[in-house]
This record gives sequence, structure tokens and C-alpha cells, in this order.
Amino acid sequence: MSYFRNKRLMGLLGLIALSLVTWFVTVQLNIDWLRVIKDLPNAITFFINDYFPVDFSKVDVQLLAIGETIMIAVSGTTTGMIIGFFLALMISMKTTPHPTMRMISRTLASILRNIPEGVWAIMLLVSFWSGNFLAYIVMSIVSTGFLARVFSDSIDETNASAIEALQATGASYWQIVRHAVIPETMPSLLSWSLYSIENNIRSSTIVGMLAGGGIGFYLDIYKGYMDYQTMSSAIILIAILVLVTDNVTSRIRNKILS
Amino acid sequence: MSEQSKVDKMNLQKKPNGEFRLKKNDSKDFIMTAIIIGMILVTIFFVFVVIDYKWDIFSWTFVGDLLKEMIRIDLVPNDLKLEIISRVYNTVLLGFMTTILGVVIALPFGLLAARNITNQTVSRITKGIFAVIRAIPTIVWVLMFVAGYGLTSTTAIIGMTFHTVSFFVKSFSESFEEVDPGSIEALKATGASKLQIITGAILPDSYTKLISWIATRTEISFAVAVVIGPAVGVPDTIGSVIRVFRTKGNYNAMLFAVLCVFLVALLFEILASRIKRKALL
Repeated sequence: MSYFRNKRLMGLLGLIALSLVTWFVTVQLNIDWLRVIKDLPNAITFFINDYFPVDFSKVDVQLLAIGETIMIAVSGTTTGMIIGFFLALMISMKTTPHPTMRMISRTLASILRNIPEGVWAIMLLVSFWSGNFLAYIVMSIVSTGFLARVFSDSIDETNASAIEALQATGASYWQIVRHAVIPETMPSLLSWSLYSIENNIRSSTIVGMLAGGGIGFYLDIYKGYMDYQTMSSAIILIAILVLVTDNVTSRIRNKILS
Repeated sequence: MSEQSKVDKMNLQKKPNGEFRLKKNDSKDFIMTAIIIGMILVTIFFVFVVIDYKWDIFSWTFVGDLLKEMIRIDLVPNDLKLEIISRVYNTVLLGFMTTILGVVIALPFGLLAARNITNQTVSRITKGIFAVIRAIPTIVWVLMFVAGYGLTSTTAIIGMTFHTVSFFVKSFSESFEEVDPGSIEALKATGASKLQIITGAILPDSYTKLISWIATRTEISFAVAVVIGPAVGVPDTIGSVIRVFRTKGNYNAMLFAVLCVFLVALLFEILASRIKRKALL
């Protein structure tokens, strides 16, 4: 029975550790869990009073903004796809031209990716005017960082024999890229790019609020005017947009990867 | 077998001059090319037609001066540096808290959403509800609760938890569904109860996958915790501090804060990819 006792002991220890962390964070951040539960009915009433009935009167403007959001997400991904692919070529062990270039591109991709999109928006707002252009730049930065990483992983995972076969024939670097790397990795590159579009559409609300552009910009305006009933129609549109994009991209992905 | 049927089987096409050619898998290539061309067209249309950016606002000398000012992080006073670091620490805790809450709440729902534990209908309904919750961005959840709870880190945690829970319900239920049906069958044959099946087969079998999902989410949670601050106005998180530095023009402190965020995010990324690699082996 010692096996089961060990397992139970491990589970108990994990539970104790979890509660300790929870307690520690509660004290550090001054979280009042009791108030959370006590105020819950209150919060729900507030929410219903503020956000309902849904005001659909500005839906035409919001639909245009949704269109902008889609375009920001797609063009950010396209830019990220092109720059990210070249970065990935330099990062992947199989295709890197030089170790120094590999290190530089890895660092660059890591900086682009690990600074959250909202922080990029705040930082770049110093020198760029807020609006669609800034949102596009922020999306391109984040997509480039993310796609460079996953693309380089896909290139690493591809079958090396095609590259080696071309090398043996004396093909140049770009010939190898064109005839071995791109055809072998294309489905996975595209599937990751679709994922990046999904991600961009999700984060477009935050980027829009901080950098302007798309539906997020309108959310910020409604928030400022406390026009919550109009905001709820925008929220509904965003939810529909996300659900539809997820559905469409997963269908395309199934077709590509099958 | 006739020659024609042989040709069909080998995916060969007979050209009019009698030569054979390999048939291409057209539909897949066509879809991929169409998507790429479509994406590029949208980008060109957006960048050159829709944006219409007023370039006269942008000036290189201003950017140069700005960079010169930003780079002097050595001029940031030490007590300010300490304060920035403590805010980063608070943000990390915020991310941890939502991840923990998310795991605890999502576990039962994840079990409910797994097809091989409950039945098809329950699984579909649960998954549908959480898909809708996931479709609403985190920022909106936080905004919804500001009215009732006010602008505190507690509100941020509640709002962020919604998205985290639905993320975990999706990933957990998928991991549960991948559990070998044989081990569930074996326990069922011994007359084990539902709870015994869950603790005896499903949780141990999917354990490594759950851990790697939790690691992924911990990484995301930090990034979300950073940006939720400035967008909604939650005080005391590093994101709000960065925004205040920008509006006040305190650019070197801003760069220092961004650097701290970057280092923490990098650390999370390295740790998460380590854990994931271990979990896969």
C-alpha cells in the first residue's frame, strides 16, 4: 500500500503548497475574498443595469471598425510572416548562414515577442500618432516575434534529407530555401500564421484601446463616456468575430494539414 | 488489371503525347496559394488605402532625441527602480493568482466537458458555454466587473479568471479525451466508480499534459496582467506605471520598466519551454 500512501502524501503536499501560495498572494495584493463573494449579487445587478438593454443604434460604425480590426490583424500577420520567415531562416540550426547572425536574430525575435503588445503600444505612442497605423505596427511586431519562433521550430523539425540532397547537387542557399525549405514547411507555416491572425484579433481590443484603431478604439471611447449599453453591442460583435474566425481558421487548418 | 486503372491508382496522368506525369494534389496547393495572395492583397489595401497616415507628424530628430533620453537608465533614481521592481513583482503575483484560480475552477468543468467521462450532450453544452466565454476578450471581462467591484487588483483577478478558466477547460478536456480508453475500460471492469476512474486513470494519464498547459498559461497570464493595467486603469500593476511614465515624459524610467517586464517574460518563456520539453519526454 506504500505506493498509494506516497501518492496521497504527494497530493496533500501539493495542496498545502498551493494554499500557501494563495495565502501569500492574498496578503501581498490585499485581496478581500469575502468582499468578492459578498458583493457578487451587487456586481451582477450593476452589470445588468449598466449594460442592458443592448443599444444597437451605432452598429454600422462598429461593423466598419470590425472590418478595420480584421484588416489590422491580417496585415500584421502578413508582415510578421514575411519578416518572421527570414528571421526563422537565420535562427534555425539547419539554415543559419552564420552563428553570429543566429544569435542576433534570436535576441531580436525574443525582444519583439516577450514585450507584451500593450507595452509596445504605449511605448510607440510617444513617437507615432495613435490610430490604425500604430495598431498595424504593434501587430506586426508581435506577430514577427511569435512567428519567427514557431517558424524556426518548424524548419528544425523538417526532414533534413531534402536540404542535404539539394546541397549535394551544389544548389545555392536561396535555391535550397526555395525548393526544399519552403515546400516542406509551407503547411505548418500557414497554419501558424492563421493562429497568429486569431491571436491578433483577440489582442486587437487591447491594442485598439491603447493605440487606437479598430473596434478597441471605440471600446475606449464608450468606456470614457460610460456609454455601456452601446459598448455591449460592440462586445457582442467582438465575440461573434472571434467565434467566426476560430471556426474558419480551424476549418482551413484541417484542410491544409490533412 | 488494365493499364488505365493502374495509372489511376498510381496517381499518374497520361498526357496527350503518351507521357506520364504525376498528378498534383491540387486542392491543397490551391488553398494555400489563395490564402497567401489574399493576405498580401488585404495588407496592400490596408497599408496604402485605408491607413492614410499623416507622416508630417513623424520626425526622425524627435525619435533620435527620445532614444538618447530613454537609453540613460542609469539616471533613474534607485528608489524609483525599487518601486518599479516591486510593481513587476505584484504583476507576477497577479498572474500566478489567476492561473491558480483558473486551474482549480477549470478542473471539474474540464472533466464535465470531456467526452469520454460524461456523455456527448453534457460535453457539447459545457464546451459551447466556455467557447462563448473565451470569445469575449479578457479586457472586456475586467471592464464588466469594474462597475460592481471598483478599480482594484481584485477586480483584475476576477476578470482575468474568466478567460483563464475557459482556456483551461478547453485544453484540459482535450487532454482528458486523449487518455487511453483501455485504462478507463480496465478500471470500469473492476467495478470502479466514476470518481475512482478519474483519480485512478484519467488524472494520472493526462498529468504531464496538464502541467505543460499550466506552464503555457502562466506565461500568458503574466503578459495579460501587464497589459490589463493600462487598458482598464488598474493601479499598482507595472503596465499602469509604464503608462504614467509615458504621459509624464519620464522616458528613461519607462525603458527601465519595459526592460524589467521583458526579463521576467523571458524567464517565464524559458521555464515554460523547459517544463513542456520535460513533459513531452
